[in-house]
Amino acid sequence: MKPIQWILVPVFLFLMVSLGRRLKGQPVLRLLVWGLLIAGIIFTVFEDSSTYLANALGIGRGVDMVIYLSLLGLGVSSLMLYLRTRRLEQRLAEIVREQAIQEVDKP
Amino acid sequence: MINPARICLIIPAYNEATVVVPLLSSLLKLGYQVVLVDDGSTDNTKAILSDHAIHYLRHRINLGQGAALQTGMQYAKGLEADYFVHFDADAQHDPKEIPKLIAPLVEDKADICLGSRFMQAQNEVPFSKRLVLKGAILINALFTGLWLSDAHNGFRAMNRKALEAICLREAGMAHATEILSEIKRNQLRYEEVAVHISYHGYAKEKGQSIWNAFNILSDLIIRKIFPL
Repeated sequence: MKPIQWILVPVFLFLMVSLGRRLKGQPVLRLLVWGLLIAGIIFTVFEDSSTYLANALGIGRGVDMVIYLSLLGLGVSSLMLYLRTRRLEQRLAEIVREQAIQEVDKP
Repeated sequence: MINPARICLIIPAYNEATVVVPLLSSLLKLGYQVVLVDDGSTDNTKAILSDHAIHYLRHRINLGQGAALQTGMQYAKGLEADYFVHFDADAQHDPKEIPKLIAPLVEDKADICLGSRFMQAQNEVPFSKRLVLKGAILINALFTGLWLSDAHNGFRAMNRKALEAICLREAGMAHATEILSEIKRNQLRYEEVAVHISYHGYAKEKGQSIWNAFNILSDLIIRKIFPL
């Protein structure tokens, strides 16, 4: 194995375990993240695999396909994080509202 | 003639210390109940309002106008009032128009009345604002199915039925479209009422920027696809 494979494969595996546990409540995101990380391992270990797959999809270069997949993963992850933030903001608003009503200054 | 003490004005305020005192004085003189929701102001709003006969609620942090209105509405449910009016703190609305706005509620023709600045000729709406508002009318119609003559007009009045039914979850300015969705969801009777909006210097300075319209639109699209 090449040095880059020794570095990337453990990183991908660590991310799979770590994110897999943290994303327990979000099955769609977990599936997407695992899919991309497994693809990352396969493309790292079997260097030509991305080119074969890219050719099959009509993309041409394997590296282009990896970029497309990365952008897709980044976009979906950002959206999921944004939605999570919105849910947290909603809960925060409820707490702030409850407190404001309890501490009202009446005429 | 309705007793003004049975009318509750809900006023969201964020850093409006310079204009809110004369506004409150005129509203209190007219005999209305006032619920002011200070949305985490960092100016001296709290200090200058301490001697006013109002219901003063304060958000510890700034959440947005929609969240402030929801706080005011939730609190107002416990007050002895029949009609509830959303009123801006930046003196854009005319207190003398409140009786006109609630008239359809009193006559039991509607559950909620929405102010419209485009129903009377004397409103000189700046061109850029007019353009954005016309776009917002279209967007409101696409999102809610309600075709109105105005959009994002903060001057509204509702009866207790509407107050109990409407629940705003949009903390920011997208609440103005969400209210229309709530009207539709709860099958509330609505009516538009011509009102005057004053475009004086302070209100223009504090008002929504045109670019904010894009933020509102993106909030609406995301909410439509991924409801809270």
